[in-house]
Amino acid sequence: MSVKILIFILVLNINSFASEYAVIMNTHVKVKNLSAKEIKNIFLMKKHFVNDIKLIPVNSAASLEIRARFEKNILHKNRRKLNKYWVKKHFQGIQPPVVQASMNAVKLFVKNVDGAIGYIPMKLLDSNVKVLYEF
Amino acid sequence: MSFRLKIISLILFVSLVPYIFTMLYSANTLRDEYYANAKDNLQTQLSLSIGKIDQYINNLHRDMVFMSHMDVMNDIYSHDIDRRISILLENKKKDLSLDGDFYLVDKNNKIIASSNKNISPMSELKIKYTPLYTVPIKSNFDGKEIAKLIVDFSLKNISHFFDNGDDKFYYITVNNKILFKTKSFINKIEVKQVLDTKKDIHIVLEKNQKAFIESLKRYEILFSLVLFIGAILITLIASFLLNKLIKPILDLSQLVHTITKTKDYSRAVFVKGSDEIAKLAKAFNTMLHGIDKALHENELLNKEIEETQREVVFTMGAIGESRSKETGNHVKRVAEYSKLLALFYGLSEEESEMIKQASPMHDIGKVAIPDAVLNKPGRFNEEERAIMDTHAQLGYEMLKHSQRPLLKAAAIVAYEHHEKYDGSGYPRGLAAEEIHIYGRITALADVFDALGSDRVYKKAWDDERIFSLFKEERGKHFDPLLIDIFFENINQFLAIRDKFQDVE
Repeated sequence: MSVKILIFILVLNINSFASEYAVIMNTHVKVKNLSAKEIKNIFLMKKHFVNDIKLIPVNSAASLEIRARFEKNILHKNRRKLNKYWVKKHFQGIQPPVVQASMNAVKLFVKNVDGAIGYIPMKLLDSNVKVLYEF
Repeated sequence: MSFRLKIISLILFVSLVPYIFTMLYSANTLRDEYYANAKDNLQTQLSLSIGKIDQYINNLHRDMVFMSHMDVMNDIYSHDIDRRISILLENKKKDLSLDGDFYLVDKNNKIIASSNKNISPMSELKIKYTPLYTVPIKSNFDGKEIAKLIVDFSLKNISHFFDNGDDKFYYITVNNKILFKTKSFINKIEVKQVLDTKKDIHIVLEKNQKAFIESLKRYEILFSLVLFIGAILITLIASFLLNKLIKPILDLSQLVHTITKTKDYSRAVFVKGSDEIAKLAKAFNTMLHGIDKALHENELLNKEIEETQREVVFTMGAIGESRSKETGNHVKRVAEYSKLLALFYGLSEEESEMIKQASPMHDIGKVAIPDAVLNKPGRFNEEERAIMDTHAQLGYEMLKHSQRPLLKAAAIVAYEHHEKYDGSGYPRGLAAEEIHIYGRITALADVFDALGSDRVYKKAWDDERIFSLFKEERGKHFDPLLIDIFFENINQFLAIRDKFQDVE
């Protein structure tokens, strides 16, 4: 078990060298961390709850670099595939996540909305949000 | 009030009053209709304007509701730091050319976003005009209200729909406050209507009615003229007809009036036709004719009686004369003198004429004097004189029973023609005014003629002697007034004496 944790911390550390972005929620929610798979499902509107907390994923504006990186590293889908995906979901009555125009707006949104989950550059992190995942 | 006036008033009342009432009523109705029409037109205009305003306000509300459901409202959570909501509101304001602003406020009335660039975020909301609509914005995630969209609405927006002109303008009343009223007309019609969308906002449309009221006045003048001419026409026709109707009655009344004045019953009235008035006139004529005939007969009868009386009196006088020594025309002359004296004395023509007719009988008593005395030549002795002097009393006794004025006058004359003014006469020795004027007159006339005539026992006196005697006897034998009258008109008395001279 402790070996596992050690490995996890190592991986985290290795990643932290390379990671520039963090998936965040506000500090009020009692969610510790999420796996990339969970995050993917949340942002594809397949998973809606964690610990009975309703989740509200927030995308950043499509033009931002962070959005492209998030789609590539977490969702593992290119923009064309995603569009197809959302058209399909649309007919099932499922809308894509909320979009905020700027990364500051994402941070503010997450801070203000319990259950909101977004991603911002590491350098914007502050005490109002906590990191669930880095990439 | 004359009959004619009464009838004219009645007819005028009966015809003019309903005429005037009808005219005034119809004029009033027309005027009201005219007015209502003008008001209807104005109301239609106002309704159209209000329709547009309501549509504008409805659109505004719909837009606000639409905006409140837009995804961008999620930015409320990030306090619109990307100004996406603000830009939306600014664009909407521009689209609507809105006077006023949209504000998006949170539960504490802090402004999150607005269409006003000068407002700093998170400042307190200050309403400048009217918060026309407030639309709640609900969370997309939990359905709770997270903010409000408010429009601060200037009523100037409504005033843009006001199609004001020289002769009309719109204004707004809100809670008894009047807005946008730039002027006021003296003569006006105004209509008021409430907005469908906002029940506290009334729009008033005021129209200058100067032209309208002037045309109404022209119409009223024309109407008055027509009314006036109509009234005059009715009056003329009524009086014309009435004159035709009443004329026979007036003729009748005029005739009655004339007849009462002139006593001329030979007149008649002519009325054409066969109505009641014509029948009345005909009956009246018949009546008049009857009266005239009766009067005429009466007059003839009276004349006959008078003639008879006169003849009887004259004959009696003649009988008296035939019994006396006086001859010829003595009686006639005394009659003429008496009448003349009576007229000059101041008695009426009728009375003078009566004296004239009565005076011939002054010696009627002599018929009862025995012939031996009466016809005795020479002077009477005492006894014979006494018998002779009874003729006055006797004449009176003969005539006194009659009720006829003429015979009564004759009785007075017979009784008193030997009385003297100083009371020394006979038979009763009366003096001055006690002697009836008939007696005084006849005394003078009798003596004047007797002295101037030849008698069996004496020659006629010449005039100088008679006049000197008369002057002497003035106030003694004769009434001094009558003597004065006699001398004043001596020529006329002499003319009578010449006219009725005794023919030997």
